[in-house]
Amino acid sequence: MERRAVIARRWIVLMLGVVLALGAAAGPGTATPAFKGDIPLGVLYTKDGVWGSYGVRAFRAIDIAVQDVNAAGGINGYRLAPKIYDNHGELAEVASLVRKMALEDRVVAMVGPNSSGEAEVAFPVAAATGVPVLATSTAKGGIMKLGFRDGKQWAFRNVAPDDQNTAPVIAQVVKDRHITTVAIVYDTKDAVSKYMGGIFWTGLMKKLNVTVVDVATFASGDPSVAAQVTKIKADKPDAVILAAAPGEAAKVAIEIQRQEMKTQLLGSGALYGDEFLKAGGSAVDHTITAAQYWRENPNPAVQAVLKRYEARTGAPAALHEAYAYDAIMLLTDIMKRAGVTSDSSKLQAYRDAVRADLVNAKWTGMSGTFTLVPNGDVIRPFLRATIDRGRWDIQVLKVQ
Amino acid sequence: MAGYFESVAILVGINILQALGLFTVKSLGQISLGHAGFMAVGAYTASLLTLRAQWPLVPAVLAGGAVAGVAGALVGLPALRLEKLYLATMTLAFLLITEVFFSNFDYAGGLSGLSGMAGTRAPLVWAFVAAAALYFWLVGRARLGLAHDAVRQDEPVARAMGVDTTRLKLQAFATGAVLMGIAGGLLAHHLFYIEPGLFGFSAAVLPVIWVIFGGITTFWGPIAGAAVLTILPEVVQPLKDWYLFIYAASLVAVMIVRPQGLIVRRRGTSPSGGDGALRPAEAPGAAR
Amino acid sequence: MLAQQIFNGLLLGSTYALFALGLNLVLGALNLLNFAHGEALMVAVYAVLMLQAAAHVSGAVLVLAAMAAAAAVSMATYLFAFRWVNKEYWMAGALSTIGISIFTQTLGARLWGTDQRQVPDIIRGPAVSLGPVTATGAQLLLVAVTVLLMVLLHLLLTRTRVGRGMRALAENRTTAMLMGVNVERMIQGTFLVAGIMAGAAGVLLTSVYNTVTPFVGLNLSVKGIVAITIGGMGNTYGAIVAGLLIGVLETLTVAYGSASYRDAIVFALLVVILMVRPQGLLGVRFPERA
Repeated sequence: MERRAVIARRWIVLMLGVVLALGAAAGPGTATPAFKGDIPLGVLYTKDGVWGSYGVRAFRAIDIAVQDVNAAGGINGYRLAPKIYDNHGELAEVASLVRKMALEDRVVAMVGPNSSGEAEVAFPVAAATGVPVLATSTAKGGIMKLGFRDGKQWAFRNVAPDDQNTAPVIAQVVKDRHITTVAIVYDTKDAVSKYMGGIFWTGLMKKLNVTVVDVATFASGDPSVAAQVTKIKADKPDAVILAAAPGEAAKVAIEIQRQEMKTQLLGSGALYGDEFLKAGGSAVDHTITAAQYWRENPNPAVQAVLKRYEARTGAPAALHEAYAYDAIMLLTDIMKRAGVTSDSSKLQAYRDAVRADLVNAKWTGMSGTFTLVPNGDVIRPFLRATIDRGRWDIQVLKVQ
Repeated sequence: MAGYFESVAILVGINILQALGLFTVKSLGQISLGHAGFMAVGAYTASLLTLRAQWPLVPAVLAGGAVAGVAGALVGLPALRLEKLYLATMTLAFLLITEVFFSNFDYAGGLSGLSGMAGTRAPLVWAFVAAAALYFWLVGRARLGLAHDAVRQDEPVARAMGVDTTRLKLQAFATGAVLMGIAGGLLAHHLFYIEPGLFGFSAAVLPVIWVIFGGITTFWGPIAGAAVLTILPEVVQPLKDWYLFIYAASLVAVMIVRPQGLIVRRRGTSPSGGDGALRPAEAPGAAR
Repeated sequence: MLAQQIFNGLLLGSTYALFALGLNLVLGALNLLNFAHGEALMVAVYAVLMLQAAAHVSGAVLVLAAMAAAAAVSMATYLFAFRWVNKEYWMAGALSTIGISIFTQTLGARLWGTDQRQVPDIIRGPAVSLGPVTATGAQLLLVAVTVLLMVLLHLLLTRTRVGRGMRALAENRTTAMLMGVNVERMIQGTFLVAGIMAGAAGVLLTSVYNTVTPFVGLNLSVKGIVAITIGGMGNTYGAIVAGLLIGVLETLTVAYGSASYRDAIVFALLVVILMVRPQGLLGVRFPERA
């Protein structure tokens, strides 16, 4: 009796082994019959941490973009295979995961990471491993040079840094609103905000001959900005510049409304988006900012992509979704024209080709028309955005 | 430059150094929520030395450790007069003050941090880990180790028996700070970038979790705790959406199910586990 | 303007004080530092947000919902960080509350997103001028209710049997047991009251806060720990005084200086207190080994 049980068990184990081996051979890496092979693309964002919402949007947009690419035949018959990673808001994880994507997954290119701090870790690694990276939500100035190595630029982004397109827009606003005095409010715990509030805006106002009557500071996460608003209210500035992330800026705007202070609210492109509207409510009406993303762009090419995307998600496309979607489309186009295949012996050649084509790349997608420049940054049109009864109203200053 | 697996190995080693740094303090029954502040000191010192003064990596890291050690002694002097929660709060205050300091210290990059450091490799990190482990092993066998145990179990008694508890605690605090400082310097040159936010509240709490998770009765505990919890995210990448939930739930579960940690020292007269006073009935040799 | 800034500071300080009170109750009675207290408050605020968005309900219902939500989180904390944890390891409970805190924050971030959300005014009121100080109806209500809550707490602790039991517990658990106090009930009651206070604080804070994120509890937790240390751990009145003091100090620093070193000043005060008078401003007991 026992001998038979032992033999039966051995057969079962043997069969299990065979089944598993077959399963492994047929494993996830194999392309479906319709495709000739897989082209791996690295995707690194995070749903966790303070900027988690950006990552959520990026993941969603990239998921849809990849589906769209593969439904249309992939990249010359090769399947676009994203290698998706979430670094949980940890910088150390970024250091490991970029290496993993570059050296283990052998990706042709990468998109991400979520935030500027993470980019400062990711860009040098990408450059050192020779992988081009296209970021879509990292807006801090001056970080692109970290992706420069041995004469080549490896890091790019299609999100414009805050100061780039703000100056001409605000110059116009100051003129036609006859603004002579401003107060600046900025966030001392946010590197971008600190630079904008402390250096950029003061410099710009000086150039435009506007007097800065007061500067008030707060720290991200502060529950109350009553003290700051009380302070600037006393100086009765024509305008208040909100140099902070949209949620934080909305907080200040609400306090300004609560203290019944009458003033023109101004901001850079950083404020544009749903968060400022939703968080600020009626307090942010009449705010004027620069903008880099125009959802109602009348360009039919833009609307075609936008409408199709929004039909899939059932919601208006947010800035970070549009940028991430366009990033995938741009990379797909580049890879198609460069003739990228799944041949891993030519991997570095493909990476080099993609990198070279990213320089000076011009693209029109869901987020409008943009051009990448040699140092990795991007040029987007100058847009002026005004909030009118709970909606953003865009005017174009200069389209490039 | 290090590859993926080497990167993970480097991080495991750095986290072990942090855990050991905290362990020196914990082994005396003290708690420090602020040791990540010493890590910041070491990281910034080492980075400024390699970036601005072109020092080679190893001396810079050692210098970072030394400066951190001095800071540790300075903080330890007043802090160690306090107990438990008060000590924890004081060290937390030190950490937060350090974060504010570096956020506004523009020579060291302020909020924008420092970038451009490079050079950490796994063999170097693990050389430091081996040295630290050796130190703890030797200490464990020497009178110093017994003195540590005595102080952890019952400080007034230890003092009555002639142990200079103040000097011991200060020494432990400073040694822990040195380890943290070295870990910081190595981390900076692996990430290629540091910013004040890296050394904030969560950086303070993580080593505490590693140490308690691993067990505090022997130095192998923190080593195990740091290693397991650092490798965890790499292993559960497929579950990446749920990682933080798993991590948080595991923490709660371990505190309920096995609060003494993974590794508990076995010995003839082993302490009753936990830190703080022994229950009188279990003190070795106590009269019943 | 100074008077207005001091009023702003007192308002802010009241929110810290309310928060610290709940934290202190649990700490004093159970020697447990509850890092998840902030999440009880966060959940209360989002409960209010969700309820307001879903249906038009009265302010009273919102307040009750907030208290219930916060109490639920607090009772869960009781179970996971106290009831089922071996008390011999004094850090285990605190670490467990850290786990609960991370879990709740992550859950909140997934459910509600990390974008800032506007907090609706529970009670709308025009701005009122009282001499050099201007305040809205909601803010005056905040002050009134805060004072009321503190008075109620004082009465609870000194005049009722439950309250006296809680204080006995804080003094010495063994003695309390010997004196016939149902210790487990008391402990549950402590967590419940702390939770309710967090809920009330959450509702009242909406008149000071303008926006929230799921991380609002985290920011408060640190301030709360600082407040109870400065005021005296376990001392109810100390928490109030310290909370108000921190609020005013922060406000004045920001109004006349910069937010950059606002935190540094508060922490420096903490360090000074710890070195000069470690039992806190109003603490009586010198910190002893547990």
